[in-house]
Amino acid sequence: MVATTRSSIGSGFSVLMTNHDLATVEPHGAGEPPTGPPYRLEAVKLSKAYGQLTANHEVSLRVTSQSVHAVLGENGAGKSTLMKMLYGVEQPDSGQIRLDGVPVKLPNPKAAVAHGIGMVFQHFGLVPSLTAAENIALGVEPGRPWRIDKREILDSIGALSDAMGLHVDLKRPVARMSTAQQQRVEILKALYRGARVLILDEPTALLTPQERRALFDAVRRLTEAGTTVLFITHKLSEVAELADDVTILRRGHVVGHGRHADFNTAQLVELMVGGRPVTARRAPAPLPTAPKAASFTGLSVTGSQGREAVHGVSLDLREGEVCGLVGVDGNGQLEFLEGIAGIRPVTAGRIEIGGVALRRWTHRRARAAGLGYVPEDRLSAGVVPAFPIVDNMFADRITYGGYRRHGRLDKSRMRSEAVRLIEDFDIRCTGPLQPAERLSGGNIQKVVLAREISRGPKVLLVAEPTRGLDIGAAARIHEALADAAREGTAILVLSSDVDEVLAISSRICVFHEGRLVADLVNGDEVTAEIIGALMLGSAEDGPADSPAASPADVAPPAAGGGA
Amino acid sequence: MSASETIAVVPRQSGAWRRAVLRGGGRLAATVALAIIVIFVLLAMSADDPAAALGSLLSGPFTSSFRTGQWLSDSANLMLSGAAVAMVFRAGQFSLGAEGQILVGALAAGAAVLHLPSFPGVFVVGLTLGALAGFLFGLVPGLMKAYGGSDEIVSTLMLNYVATYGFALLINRYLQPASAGYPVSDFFDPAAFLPSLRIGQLTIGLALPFAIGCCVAVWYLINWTKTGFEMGAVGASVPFAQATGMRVRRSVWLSMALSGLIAGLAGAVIAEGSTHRLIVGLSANIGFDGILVALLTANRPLLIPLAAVAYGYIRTGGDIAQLSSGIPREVITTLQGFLILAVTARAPLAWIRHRAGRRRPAHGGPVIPGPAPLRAAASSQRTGS
Ligand SMILES: Nc1ncnc2c1ncn2[C@@H]1O[C@H](COP(=O)(O)OP(=O)(O)OP(=O)(O)O)[C@@H](O)[C@H]1O
Ligand SMILES: [Mg+2]
Repeated sequence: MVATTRSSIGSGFSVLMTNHDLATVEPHGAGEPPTGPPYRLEAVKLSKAYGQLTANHEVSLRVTSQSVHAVLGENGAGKSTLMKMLYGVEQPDSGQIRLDGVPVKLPNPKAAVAHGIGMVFQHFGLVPSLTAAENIALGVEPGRPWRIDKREILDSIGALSDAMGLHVDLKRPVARMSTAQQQRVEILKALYRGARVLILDEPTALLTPQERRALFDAVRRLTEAGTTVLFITHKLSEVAELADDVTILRRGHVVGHGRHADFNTAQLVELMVGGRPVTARRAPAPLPTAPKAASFTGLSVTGSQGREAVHGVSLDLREGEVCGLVGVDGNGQLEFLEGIAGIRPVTAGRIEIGGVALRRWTHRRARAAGLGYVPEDRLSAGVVPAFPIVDNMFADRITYGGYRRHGRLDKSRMRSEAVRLIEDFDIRCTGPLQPAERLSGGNIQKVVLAREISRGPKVLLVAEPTRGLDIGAAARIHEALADAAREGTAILVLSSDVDEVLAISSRICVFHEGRLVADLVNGDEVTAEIIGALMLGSAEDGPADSPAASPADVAPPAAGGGA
Repeated sequence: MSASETIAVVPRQSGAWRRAVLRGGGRLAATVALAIIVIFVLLAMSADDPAAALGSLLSGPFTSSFRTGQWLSDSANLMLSGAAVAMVFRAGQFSLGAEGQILVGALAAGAAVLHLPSFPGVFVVGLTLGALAGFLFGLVPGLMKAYGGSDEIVSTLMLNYVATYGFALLINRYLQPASAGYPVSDFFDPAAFLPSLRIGQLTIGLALPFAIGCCVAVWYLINWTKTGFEMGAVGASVPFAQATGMRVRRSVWLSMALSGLIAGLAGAVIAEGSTHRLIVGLSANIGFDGILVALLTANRPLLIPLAAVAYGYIRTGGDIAQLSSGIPREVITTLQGFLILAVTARAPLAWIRHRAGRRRPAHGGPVIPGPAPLRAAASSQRTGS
């Protein structure tokens, strides 16, 4: 199968052909000096400091050819930093990078690409207005300098994407693509440039369960075809599913490495978070007498395509309730949340928060009425990357006139309160003035959560609360949500991770095709299978491969359990 | 696992501030030095006596106290215009309407003081009306963008034409004395002149301290007020501003209108302080040179006085050299173009820094080659201080 695959690539595409030939034709160890270990990619005692902060300390990594190597570690452990050094984005302060045993210098990504290394960043770098094919070929277009051979580009990329099972509409502009499609474009872009070592930084964080499975299939196909894959994840289930080897980082140090089979889950957790107990607490269901915090009646919400995405959904929230919103991606649950938040137009229905019904529902009014909102896309809507942590933390309060003294912003109070929140939420940073863009991905998420939880909302809307968070941080966020609920906040949590919803919510609402199809009290009898079947629109016979029936993720720890 | 061990001491505010100013100043000095080299090359090609020409260009403003006064007055006008531009750029709006707003402000001020009976302090009425007119003239494209989604670059540039020709037309219709052959009004009553201070031979207009005050006010607005914070956030990321409950539209129109207000003030100051009457070409391109001044400082209001004085020196020196040694106007204009290039084309600088290995791209991501977008330049200046 691999052979036929390759000949089909070979017909129109030479760059990749050569590279993959190289990778397969020269088996490691054949002509190599016997001393050199057959590692495809090797990092030897790489160190990297940002000012006072040591992001990587003598980190060594050995990646065997054609293997899948997972890099684990808590937020801010230095995983992305290590990958950036391997891709030439960051320069190590000391240490060495070897490819097939040969030391290489990677002063910039271009050099890394020339050495057959490709990387897909967590935050993509595609040009939105260009099509997939144009993005993929950008800068390495075949043909004469004055004439780009579009036909050849399409043919060769098409062959590549067919071979790897990475299907995208090559003529569609990237701006109109889903996250998963954009990720496929990024992977194709790396492969088109001849990547034989592919680095994926938290590739699954933004994917739905189905998309994740498609990605994993593609990764397996890639390794069969000779590519070596290095990926970062926080989910141990993904490690179990995909990885041959693992390396675990903590606070910039390697604390464990070896074949994945040599570790059990408990050991991995222990290594990642240093033995901290990891538990999630399910919020207790509030008494039926608890006052109503919010009520939504007959809401219809317009979706991105201009079509109605939510059809007349009604829902009441009581104080202290944690209500999980689940649904297969695109079934209206996100639009429902954004409609309540006032981010999307609500075309019909009535929203009441704390007994106050407002006529024109905007996000500003919603917040004034006591709403907190954690948006799905933290990097564009959650924070301003260039702003310091403190500005990001209090932006919502400043705009309502908070933190003012004698008519001007009280920056010293803002700073001291930011320091407190940084400690409460264990945000790894150099201080409140550090720009958000210098934080690790998970710590950016913590800044957003710190802002929204600390404003003490009556109703808190949270989309994907622990996306990109490590196990320990996820548990701490769950803890913080439970605390907020205990103080009377009604929380609506949207998560594509059914196990997370099962673990923390007192009530679960399932969306299907824009309607609320089930509204259950969470309990031990509610399982991922039941929810999964409901998500697919049938209570009786959920197919075996329903999204929720995939192996339970260890992060966050499942209360309901998986298949 | 407490975070305290990773939290370093908060950097002292004054230190960070001083460093920022030093960095800005150093960059400014480098740009100006480069400019002087280019001027000399240009002069060597175009003037009969390049050395003399350079001499009058470089020392012109100091050759008489009248010229020094002229330089400082021009600098004050540039400061106001630069402050107007920096303010709107910091808010992420690329309004290029300062030129038109200056004319509208001057017209309002001039019409008022020409028609009002003369009384001491009538100049204040002119300033107020000029500011108001500028505010309204900035508000128009602001509302167009906030509620109609029109592109502010296009609308403000078009409104500049409206202002330029409207200015001439209205003077011609209502204010031009019968004897004048082109659109120009009578001189104002001296009570409507901007007061000035005489130190020996040197006359310093009220405009200079006033303009510096305006720069400080813009700095204060941007850094220390809620409204300024909102403007900065909207300028940096509209989705973020929306998701934190900010009034995005208000911020858009308000920043453009406030910028118009400052530009309108600049117009009134030019009319009452420099030309003392309304005349076509009154703005002497101050509105566009304000963009240059703002870019020179990367939109830092506190550096604008410095940049304006430096650029005002070149402007005045150029005027003088043109008169005394016949350097063509084009040389000065070429120089201005060069300065804009030197300031806006950051790619070479970034490349040099990259070679020196001191800087990295901010957040991962494959770097897409191409000019650094203006928007990024305008929004990246925020610090916690
Ligand atoms: N440009 C930078 N300047 C200063 N510090 C930085 C910079 N980039 C990263 N850091 C710091 O280096 C540390 C390691 O960051 P890194 O992004 O490698 O973490 P990570 O392991 O990828 O975490 P996550 O799982 O949250 O993405 C963090 O403490 C982060 O704040
Ligand atoms: Mg990371």
